[in-house]
Amino acid sequence: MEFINQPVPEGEEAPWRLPSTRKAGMICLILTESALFSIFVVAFVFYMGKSLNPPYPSQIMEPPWLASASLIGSSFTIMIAEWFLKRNRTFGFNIWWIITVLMGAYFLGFTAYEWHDLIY
Amino acid sequence: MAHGPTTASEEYIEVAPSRPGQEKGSFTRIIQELVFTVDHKKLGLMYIGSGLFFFVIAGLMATLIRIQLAIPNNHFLEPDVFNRFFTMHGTAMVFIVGMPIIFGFANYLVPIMIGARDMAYPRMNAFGFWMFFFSGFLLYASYFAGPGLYNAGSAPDVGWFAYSPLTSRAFSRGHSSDYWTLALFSGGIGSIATAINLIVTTVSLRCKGMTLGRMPLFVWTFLVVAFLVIIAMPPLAACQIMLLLDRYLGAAFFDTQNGGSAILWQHFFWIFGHPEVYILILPGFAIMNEIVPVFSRKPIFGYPIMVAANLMIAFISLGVWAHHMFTVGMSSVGNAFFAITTMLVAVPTGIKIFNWLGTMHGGKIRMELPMLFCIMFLFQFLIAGLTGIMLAVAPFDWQLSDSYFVVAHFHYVLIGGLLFTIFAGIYYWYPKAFGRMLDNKLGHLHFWLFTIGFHVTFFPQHISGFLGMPRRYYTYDAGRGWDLWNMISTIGVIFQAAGIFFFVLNLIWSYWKGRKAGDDPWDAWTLEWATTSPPPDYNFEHLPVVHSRRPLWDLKHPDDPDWKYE
Repeated sequence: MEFINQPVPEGEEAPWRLPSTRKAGMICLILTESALFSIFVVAFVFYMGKSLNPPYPSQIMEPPWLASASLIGSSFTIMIAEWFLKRNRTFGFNIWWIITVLMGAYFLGFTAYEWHDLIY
Repeated sequence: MAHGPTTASEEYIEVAPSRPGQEKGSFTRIIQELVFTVDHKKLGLMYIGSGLFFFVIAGLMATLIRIQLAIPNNHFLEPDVFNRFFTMHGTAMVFIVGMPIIFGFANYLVPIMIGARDMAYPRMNAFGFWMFFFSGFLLYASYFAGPGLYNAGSAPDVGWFAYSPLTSRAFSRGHSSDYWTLALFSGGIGSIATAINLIVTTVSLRCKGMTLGRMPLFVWTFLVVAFLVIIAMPPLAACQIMLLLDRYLGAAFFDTQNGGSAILWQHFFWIFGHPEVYILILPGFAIMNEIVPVFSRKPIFGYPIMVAANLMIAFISLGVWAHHMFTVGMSSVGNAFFAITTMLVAVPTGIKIFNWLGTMHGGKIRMELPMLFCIMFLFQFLIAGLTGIMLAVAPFDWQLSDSYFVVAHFHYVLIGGLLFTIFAGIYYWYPKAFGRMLDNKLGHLHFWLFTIGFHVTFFPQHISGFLGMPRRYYTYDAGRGWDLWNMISTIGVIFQAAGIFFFVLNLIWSYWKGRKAGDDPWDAWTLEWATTSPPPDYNFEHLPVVHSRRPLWDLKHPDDPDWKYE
């Protein structure tokens, strides 16, 4: 069947635009991740202060300020790197990209250290 | 995605020299095509085909369960075998039968219905399918590998919702629960991938003129289903991870001996589990939305309200989970909240039923097979809904929770509701997928045998439930008033099995011998009927442009198109 040459209602010639698949996909992925982690967070909140016997979390763990800062900060540095990339300025991109990688590596390394410390 | 015209690609195939085992139509070539394909139509059929395969296995398990329960004090099965059967039957029917079949329909139809050439992410689509397929075999592999190094256990035997502490290592030795956990976890990843794909396809790939208000209700409903999947499946994955941590890394999330909470597992499981019920039944509604108008020869009654009802059902379904848990001893506020939200779901669902009736009212109804299944759906789903409202009343639920009344209720939902519409959908779209009609006589045999068998099996379970028979009991003593109802129930299975036999026979026979269907055998209105049967790889030679909810009506009736009235 042919869709060309059929009578068309007036005012239907507006350009046809839809959201990009990349944006839509990324939003869905973020929704999925949020749903996943919300359960972990609920479990965490549910058990806060309910440990039956020591050691209690506050005795053996410290808030990982620096690691958290580098994790969250790396979101911003990658944005800056992207900004350079879009303007074809490779040098700036490389610098900020490397900074991002280093911050990510620090976070991962610290997490590994934390687990190691916790277990042994 | 192939964009070129058919002739060119066919010439190419003929000119290219075939290596041994690669000749067109040879077995190895077909297998290779199935494994390599990223075509949404092939993947859709693979989803449905493998879903039906697991359906037959899980159905055989149900048959053996019914034989065991036919008479009192029966020892046809061993008790531990019985436990594994009801666990595997439930798990399989939900996760590797229901889910893949509905995703199969979505995969096949959503891109064609919105006038696209494929899904947004074809390779991720294939990934989703193979994750599900792997998870199905992983689940069944537990029968062989479940004993593990401890040589204890076999298939999972903890029930399909695997309540803690049954899953702790003390009570679930060997690896059976791990197989359950990992199978659901990997299958869940596949489902999430497919759901994201469905959302993005629907949001970003609609053909020109296909505004949200003109989308077929089938696509609308699956958009809602896909959102439910990405919200409800991750919590399941999260609690599977916590369960594994409990079992192997000394965590105590669900271990009451060490300060954990068994109730927390129930909450987490049902936060997934109840939306899951709607993930399974909404696709049934989606199929109804397409078939009822076409066979009533009328546009759907109340399109915007139907969309709104979908959204309401999805939204409310996220807040009803603890109605599965009235007997754990929640506060009366909790009980009241979940009872009220559960009853609230009945409102949009009732709206849907009235709208389907409104569509049929005054229509020129054609009693073809798809419509027969849909009409039975209306009756059966009504019963399921009404028993659901009965169970939503907390004090009533205290009497009947975990009894055969509940078993009857959810089989009326999932068989009387979902499975009947799946059958309707298969009779309706088989001609599109294979170019041949399913045989009418075999179809009627299937319909009547299965309908009779279904009611004979499951209606008596309401009564045995009222008489106090608990679900999952291995056997029972004579003289408790349950004998007759169980016997009737088991006899019904014979009819159901015969129905399924004729259905499978029909699928195979009609593939070769069925009447040629043509492009549009039902004189329908949505875009999938605008292309050939089966559709080419690229779906449409020219991407369609639509101006109303029934683009094919506009084409067939240029003098009186729908857009004049919408």
